[in-house]
Amino acid sequence: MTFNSLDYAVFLAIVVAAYWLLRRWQAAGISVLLGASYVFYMCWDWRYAGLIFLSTIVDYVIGRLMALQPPGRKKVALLCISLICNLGLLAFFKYLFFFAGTTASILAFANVEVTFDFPHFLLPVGISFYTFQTLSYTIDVYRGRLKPEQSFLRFALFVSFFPQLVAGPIVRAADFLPQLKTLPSIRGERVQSGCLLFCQGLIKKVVLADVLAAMIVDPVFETPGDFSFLARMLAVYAYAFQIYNDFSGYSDMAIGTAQMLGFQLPKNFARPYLSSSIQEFWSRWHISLSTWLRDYLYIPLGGNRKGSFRTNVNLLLTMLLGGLWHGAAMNFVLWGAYHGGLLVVHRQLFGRRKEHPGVVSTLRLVIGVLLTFHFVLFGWLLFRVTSMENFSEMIRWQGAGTEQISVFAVCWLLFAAILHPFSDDVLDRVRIKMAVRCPAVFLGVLYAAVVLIAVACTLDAPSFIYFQF
Amino acid sequence: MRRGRWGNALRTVMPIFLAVLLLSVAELALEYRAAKRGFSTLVFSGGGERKQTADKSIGDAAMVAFGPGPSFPFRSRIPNGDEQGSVWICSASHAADPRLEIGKIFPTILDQKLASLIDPERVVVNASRAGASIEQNLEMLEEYGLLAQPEVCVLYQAANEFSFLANRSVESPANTPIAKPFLANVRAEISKFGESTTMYGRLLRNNVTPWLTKACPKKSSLGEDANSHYRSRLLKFIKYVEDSGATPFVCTFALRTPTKVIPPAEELFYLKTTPTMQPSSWQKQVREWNELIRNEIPEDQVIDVAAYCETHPEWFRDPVHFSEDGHQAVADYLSSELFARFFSKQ
Repeated sequence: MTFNSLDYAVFLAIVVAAYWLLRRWQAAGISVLLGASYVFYMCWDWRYAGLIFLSTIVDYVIGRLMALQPPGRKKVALLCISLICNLGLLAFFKYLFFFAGTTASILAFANVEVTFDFPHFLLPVGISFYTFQTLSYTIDVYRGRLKPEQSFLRFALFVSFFPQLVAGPIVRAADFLPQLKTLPSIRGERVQSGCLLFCQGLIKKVVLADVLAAMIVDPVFETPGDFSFLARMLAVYAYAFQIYNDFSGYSDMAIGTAQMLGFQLPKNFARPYLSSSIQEFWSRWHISLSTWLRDYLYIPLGGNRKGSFRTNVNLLLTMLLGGLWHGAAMNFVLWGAYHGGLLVVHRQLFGRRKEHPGVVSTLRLVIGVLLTFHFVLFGWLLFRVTSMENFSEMIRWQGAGTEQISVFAVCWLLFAAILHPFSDDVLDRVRIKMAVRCPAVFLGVLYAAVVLIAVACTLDAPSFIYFQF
Repeated sequence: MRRGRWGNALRTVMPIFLAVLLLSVAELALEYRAAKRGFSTLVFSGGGERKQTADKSIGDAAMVAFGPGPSFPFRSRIPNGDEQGSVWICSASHAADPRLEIGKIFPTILDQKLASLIDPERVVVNASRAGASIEQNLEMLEEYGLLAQPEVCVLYQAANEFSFLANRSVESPANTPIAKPFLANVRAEISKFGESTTMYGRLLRNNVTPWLTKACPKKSSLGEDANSHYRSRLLKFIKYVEDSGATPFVCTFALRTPTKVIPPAEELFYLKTTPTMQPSSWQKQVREWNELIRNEIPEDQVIDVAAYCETHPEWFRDPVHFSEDGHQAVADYLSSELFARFFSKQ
């Protein structure tokens, strides 16, 4: 059940109505949302709901037990159990075939032929997201930064809250659990603001991301040889805006849905392609993941406290694992390593220079933005290709391709590019003003128009890109 | 004045309620317009097919014996079982043509012509349904053929085979696991409901979406197996008909514009049915299939409708469907061909 489907609209209407009616009784309100979250997940595959439940039970129990233990071996052992369970599930379901295949390839170099014959199974949707969420809870409890949650219902809802269950934003327990203790009140303007944010996300996904995918990205990446070099480059630009609109559209819809229910989820994007350095890019792109990696991987590895060399190694390692988090394939590993390398180079070149926005000249800023965007673009090429052959075909200078990208498609790409710089803060303010001041009739017409636009622009497009992670 | 809890809730849902109301009113208005034009819609009688309209050319008494009905789902005269043999037409919307009155589609005209030429007891059964493929034609023949004891079966199919091949999804490898969704049936029903609304299914998807698909790069051919697929379907049809003791006839498929340059309005028509294919590939593929029929099917089983219609674009109301004149002309041609090749030899 994707956010841009009719069945989700029906599901959401039922859940919102039931929650509004029952939220006066806290346990009932949470039960409604918990039940809805499991139904939402089981609509993909009912058999995998057990995995979330298992993850929930393990971390709930470990969190409670940790609170009873003084700092020491037993507490560390409990943390290790949580890490082994969560990362074990993730490794088994997501990386088993990748590691087995890589091992077989390495052994083949030594003339040792090994075949791993594992039964095939589906990658559970959203496993990377909810695993990171539960891990952050356990680690925070271990560090003493968070008191363990007493209510199993509340904790279960934190792990499985349906708006952000399958593709984020990754929510921290410290941000979300307090919202469940006293269920936030539902105010009309917040509901309207949530609806408008949902509409914004829907337009990003259906009108921009999916149309760019169908008109430029998918055909070119499928058969790069049929297209000229220029068309292939256009496809990389188009992919940059497709993935941004796809994922930030999903995040908007998730945050908007949560707002309709009265909850606040963290922001995930802040105009990432306007970053003037690669470091800034990672503070604007998939913010909930990059801050997670910073707090639970980079800093525990030593961060920048152990000298320049260790800092660089930590950066590389963090980004490498960040790449691997996206998918069990070599191109994601390369993408992570590439970004890690860029961060190391950036740190070496500009690390000690203190930048003051007032001093930075406009020209330097523009050059920085353009350079960063194009470095990121090359990363997206690594991210999107299906194989190394596909990659080499994409970057080949020569090409006798006769297929054309239409002018209409190029205009669509320009349209997506022009929309990107609009400040989220401005959009937020406009949305809130509209929610408060606009008459109901105007909003009604606007919602109806969004539905019609979404229907008209819906091509036979695949699901959200980040569902696969 | 203080608003109560329900007042606040009402105010909160008002814009959403208004949006739903607006969409519902627009949907109802469009459905009413469609119903006035003779279509059955989601609200105005069910089914999604065009309503049976009164046909002045046949008369009320004759209408009683015409489908579609619960036991006979075709736009055709219903055989009563006493017939000495029938002509069974296997096609799709090209013969069922729900846009025209039943008396003006070529199978009905053919029925009248053969009745006057040969024997009023012989019935022409128009076993055609919009969207049907050759496989489905054979299934319908198997299910309903006994009712009419066909002695001649005429196949007129290409467009839906093209759509089937163009829209087929890439088959997953045999060992790919399949998700087991919860409430799959309920969700399928909800999606079906959305698809069958007039605004979604017909107006927007048919008139706006093709402008976007037009800008997408498209495949220029169906792939290497297109001819073998079509050949195997034709041979299966011929074998099935011959095994059941009837005589098969295969028609070549007629297009309005058999030239390489396709007018923009026609391009949109092709894009509605096969958004991933270049409109010119339609023309090319159908021409290839027509050649295949001419070269590989025994000559006495081929009726070359395409050649007959080639110089008459006025016989079509769109690239593949006949106009009133077209139906009349095709009925004339089929009756003369069937008479010359089959009925005159009996």
